[in-house]
Amino acid sequence: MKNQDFELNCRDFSRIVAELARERMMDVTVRADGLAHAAVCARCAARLADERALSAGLRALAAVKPEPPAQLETALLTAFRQQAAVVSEEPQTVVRLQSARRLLTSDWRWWAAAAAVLVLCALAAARMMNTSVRPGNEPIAVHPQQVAPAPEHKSAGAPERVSVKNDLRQDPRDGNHLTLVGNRKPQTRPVHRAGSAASQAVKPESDGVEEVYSDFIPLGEGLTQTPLESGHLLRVKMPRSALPRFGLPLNPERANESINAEVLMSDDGMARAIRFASQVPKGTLVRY
Amino acid sequence: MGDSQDATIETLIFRLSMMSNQTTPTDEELLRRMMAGDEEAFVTLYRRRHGGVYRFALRMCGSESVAEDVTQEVFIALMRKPDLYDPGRGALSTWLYGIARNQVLRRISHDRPYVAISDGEDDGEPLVYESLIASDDPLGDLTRGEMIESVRQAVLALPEHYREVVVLCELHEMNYAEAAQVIGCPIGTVRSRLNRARALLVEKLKSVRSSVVLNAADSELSAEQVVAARYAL
Repeated sequence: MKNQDFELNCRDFSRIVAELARERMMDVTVRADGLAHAAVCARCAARLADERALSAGLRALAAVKPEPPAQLETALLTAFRQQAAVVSEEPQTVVRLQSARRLLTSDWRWWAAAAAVLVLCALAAARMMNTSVRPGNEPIAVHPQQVAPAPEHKSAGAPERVSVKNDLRQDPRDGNHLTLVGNRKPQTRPVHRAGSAASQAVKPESDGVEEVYSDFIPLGEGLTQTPLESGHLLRVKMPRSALPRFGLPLNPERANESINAEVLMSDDGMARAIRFASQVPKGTLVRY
Repeated sequence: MGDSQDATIETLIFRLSMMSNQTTPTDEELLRRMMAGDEEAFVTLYRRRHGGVYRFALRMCGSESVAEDVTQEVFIALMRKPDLYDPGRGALSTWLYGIARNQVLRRISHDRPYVAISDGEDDGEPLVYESLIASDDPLGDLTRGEMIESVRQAVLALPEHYREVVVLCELHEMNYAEAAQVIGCPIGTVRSRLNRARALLVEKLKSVRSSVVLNAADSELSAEQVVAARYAL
């Protein structure tokens, strides 16, 4: 029984011997019991001595405090300065970005104007390209038999002279050919109330019928032409089927009929523009 | 008279402690200043912690050049990724030791310059060394320099998981909780590993001492020293 207690105490001692040797803080009672056991047990006393010697050796080793070379601090300090320089550059970058953003926001009018110029240039280029490739751009011959006599209200032999303020262009290739300029959009007002638009000329006719004209449609390439200061009108008859070529809507029921038109001729004999006339009862809506 | 003198001394100590607190910024304060670009704060922090980091690496790997590299890596990580430090998980010094530990273990696993002592048994019950029963001083036959070198070599020969607890708890005087934070393991594991490591060190140093005694017979040691050494065996 006594031997069992001794072995048990040795096992317990082995658990605390390192703490005893290290002389660290521990429970006073446990420490006293351990030292008391070592006093009566030679085996545990030797173990405690070994541990104490080891602790002494470890303390001696811990007392040696080698230091890294001074160059290491210098190298790290250099690295820190470089790091700090990078960090300090980042806010400057932000400032630059903010400045750029402020430039964008404060001078937006300049940017808007530049964008508008670009859009206009792109549209002009596209218009030129479409003009050269549009299939419906073949010249329209003006046949002599289609030329109608001047209206009664005009003086015979004297073509009607008009003053043109529009920037009309003519076909530079041939004065006898009338060419639809570019991809002129169809009239946005396919139905016209007679006399409702200031740009529409309304000529009185007999028997309660009046002639309503469309707007002038420019002819020719346009961009290379000079502005037209004055000219005269030449009345012609054209098949209605030609209306779509000028961007005007066509009534299929009247596709086989003819339509009166007036060609604006410049003083040099070039066709500059054309407009179409429709005879309708007074006060009715016009559909070409 | 004696009471008034004690009170004066206490007051002086208190004032000195207050002055010390005012003039010595904590690691966390230095870190904040360092993150704001304060070079002086970085230098102060480096000079405060570089020695421990360097010695930990040196005692773990035994190579000065590797220890320098590890120290540099630790402080480079500190200056480049200071946000990774979480004050809620421990002291800054513990975090730095953790970085150093990872660097050291990576290099050790790559180089493997040392042959580890076979630990024989798993963690748990401490070993009973019958051969050490009669010894009263396993290092008594060595000079101080030899003793330090023997201990250093014995520590280096330990397996890494034992070596690191010895270095942290014995050589750097960390408590079990701090060592557990650095290693990332429970406190009980640190305690059991330390007991096991110490037992291995005692055994290793005993073998070193015996070789010294045997060599001493043919050396210039006095007969008295040789007898004492043999008696110790």
